[in-house]
Amino acid sequence: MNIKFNTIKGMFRSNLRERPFDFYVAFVLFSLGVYGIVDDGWPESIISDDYSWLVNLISVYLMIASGVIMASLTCNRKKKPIFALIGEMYGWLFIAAAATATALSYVGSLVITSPDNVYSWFIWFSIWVGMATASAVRACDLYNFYRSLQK
Amino acid sequence: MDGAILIAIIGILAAPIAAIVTWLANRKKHVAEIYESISESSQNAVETMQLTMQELRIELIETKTSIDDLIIENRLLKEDLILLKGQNQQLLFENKALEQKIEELSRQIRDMK
Repeated sequence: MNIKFNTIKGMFRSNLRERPFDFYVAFVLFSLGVYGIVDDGWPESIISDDYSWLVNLISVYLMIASGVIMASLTCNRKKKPIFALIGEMYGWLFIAAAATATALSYVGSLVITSPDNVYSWFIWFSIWVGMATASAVRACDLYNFYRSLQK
Repeated sequence: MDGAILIAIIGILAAPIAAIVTWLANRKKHVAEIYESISESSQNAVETMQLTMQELRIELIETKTSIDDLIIENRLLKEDLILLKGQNQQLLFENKALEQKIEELSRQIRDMK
């Protein structure tokens, strides 16, 4: 019991305490991925029923990527430095790809039919574009750090 | 959905997979490079610490030498002060003797008058 407590304490001492918001965002995206798979009506209405496999694929991307980010944020960086860095970097890259794909699917829905509520469409589109940009910036930041380690 | 957008989505989703597969293909090399860099930086940190400690040691030795010099100077000053105290006491004694002589002489002059 004591060892377990120490391990959890160790986790909070490392990356998780430094980046709690990253962990929270990853958790939200993981939940979103689960919701995308569980709820058939979301957000297929934006794309179309024919491309529900695409929504499921994006949901799986979100789940795996955010799961890897959460694991890399809570792992012991001293014991697993490669996983802590690479896991987080590729995790954010996958999130960026999934968010861009979702944003593009929103654009795709606009090409075929005009949305019922333009404001709602724009808000969701902005959220996904913002998510993609933020994730890409984080992935690039980690990539630069990775490159600085290689030099 | 438009075909071009669908292709773009699939391309975007495939990009990170391609990146991670490339990384995994060269994993050993990359991991070795990172560990080498980490060990190099650790070694540099140790060397820097050693240099700093050495400089501190030299500074401490210099400080100790100057403190020793100060102690010697202090001892000399103390000895000088003791000598001065002795001289001062001697002077006081002589002063008292002179005072007595002056009193005696002034008494003699008074008697002669």
